[in-house]
Amino acid sequence: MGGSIVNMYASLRARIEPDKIIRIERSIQGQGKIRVQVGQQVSPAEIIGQGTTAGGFKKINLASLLSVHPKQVKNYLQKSLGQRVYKGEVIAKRPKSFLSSEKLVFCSSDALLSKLDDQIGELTLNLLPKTLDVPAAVFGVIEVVDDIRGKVVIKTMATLVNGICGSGKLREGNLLFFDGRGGLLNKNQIPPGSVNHIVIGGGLIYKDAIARAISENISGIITGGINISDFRSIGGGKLHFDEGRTSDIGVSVVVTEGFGTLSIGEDIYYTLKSHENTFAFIEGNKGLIILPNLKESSLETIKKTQLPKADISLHSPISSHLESVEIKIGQRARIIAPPFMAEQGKIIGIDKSQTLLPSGLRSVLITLETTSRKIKVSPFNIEII
Amino acid sequence: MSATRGLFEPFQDLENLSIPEITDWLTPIPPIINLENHLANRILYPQTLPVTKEQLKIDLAILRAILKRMASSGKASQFLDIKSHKIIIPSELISCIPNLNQLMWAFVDGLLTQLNKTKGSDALWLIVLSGELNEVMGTLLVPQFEGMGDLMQLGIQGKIYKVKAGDLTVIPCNTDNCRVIYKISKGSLLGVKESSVDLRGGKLGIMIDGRINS
Repeated sequence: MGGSIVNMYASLRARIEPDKIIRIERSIQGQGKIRVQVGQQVSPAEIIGQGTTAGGFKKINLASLLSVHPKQVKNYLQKSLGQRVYKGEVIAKRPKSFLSSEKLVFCSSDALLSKLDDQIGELTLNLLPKTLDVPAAVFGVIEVVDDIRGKVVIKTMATLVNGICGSGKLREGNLLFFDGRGGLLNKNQIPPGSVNHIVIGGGLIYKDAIARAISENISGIITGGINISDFRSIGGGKLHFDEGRTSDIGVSVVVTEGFGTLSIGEDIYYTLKSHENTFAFIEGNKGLIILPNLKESSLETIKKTQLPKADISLHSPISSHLESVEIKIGQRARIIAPPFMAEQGKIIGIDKSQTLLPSGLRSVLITLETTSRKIKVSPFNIEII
Repeated sequence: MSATRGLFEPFQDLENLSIPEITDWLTPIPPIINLENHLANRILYPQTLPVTKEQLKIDLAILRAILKRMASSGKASQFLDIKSHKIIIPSELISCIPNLNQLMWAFVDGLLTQLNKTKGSDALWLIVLSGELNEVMGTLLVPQFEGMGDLMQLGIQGKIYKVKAGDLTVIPCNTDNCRVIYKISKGSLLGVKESSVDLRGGKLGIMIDGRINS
């Protein structure tokens, strides 16, 4: 690059903001009651409200499950129509016979036996509304109680991890690690027992893995890279990095580095690793992961810290406007262009003269010391972290 | 040194570029998935510069594609002044491409492919580098050749140059006034086969776009 070499600048990206006092919002599902008051201190396990989910109905073909004629199904019912059954209770039973073993049909959720169609042997269950307790999930102080919308705002302390982009609304779950910083995640590699978890994927997540994550009820996925075509399909077809964009396909995804196969940066990976199996929030639309501080001692700082009243937007969205800072020896930086994209290291040298790059451009080069090697890179291709 | 000015920072519409618009300018075409990810990363990190020749080729193809899109939708007025026949190159882009020639031809390709080359009035364009002070870099000549074997002979500052149909040529002439004497075997420039014209020179000089179907 032309020009005199006096001061060099690079963009500063705040990828990890440790122990920030922020506001988080907790909601109860459906109709319900909030049990806390403004000013009250809460701990993670404390129930802040109770919600009730709507019932709905479910059909079970008992003739098929019991291997009997549809007209005979009524003989095997263990409860009468109109009666209540509870999750795990036996609905129908066909005793052991000379030709077959005993057959039992269990109820998968609390319900009312509503109707039996003896033409096809199908039982209709009216599912009973379910009551769900909502824990605070964080140490904090209740700031807002909105009984009408069933929402509570809690002032709390958390480490914020800022990805580059993402998709999906605010979700929650425990952090579940998959296969290192650079693994490729396809649908067959979604780890078992991931339901309601946030899965840390690795270097690339395929579209089929996202589809599997939705069907497996996974809360979120954190990945270093993603192919842009897959990102467009989960992001509503557009690439928006500006404020106010929202999309949701049933799982929240945060991309930490960029597009293509890119390992999760060391800074983010090891911060997440230190919270392995602990509770976290993920909001793909803001490219944000919130790691609550689970130390009770954080309450002291939370209580002492006043947040601006106007800042009720909870936490800031992805910023596309980055501050420029002077490059100095000792700073940590990440590489934002190939080759070596997503690698991180410490700046240990700044050349005094320009070097001719294979592209034909000339640039002063920075020496970055990573955990395994030293890399020369143009200052235009790094961000200070 | 600014950390926030890159090749694509003056352009707002990169996201809407389609891959075929870019591959139109690329030979050979790299794997599409790589091209898509390259473009998306350039949108994410517009300040970055190409390290390899392959990356540079892709960046130049993206530049041509975005300029062509802007020109065809009438949104390129900051780069193309049709009234005064000027191609305006932002000076901050010089540092993003190895040499001014490559940058100039990318602008010519992107902006002028929409214009009707057969019109004599589109045969002469001033190349201006915009910045704090606008600097004339030279003049682009677009002769109208009839076929691939055609030849144009030019006399500039006492030297004779031959330009074949299909060639892109840059002839140094770093003065305010370059007298160009020309003669075309089959074809015309400014509506005639043979004439002389006084043109503005500059750091680039006199550029001749001899392509037939550009």
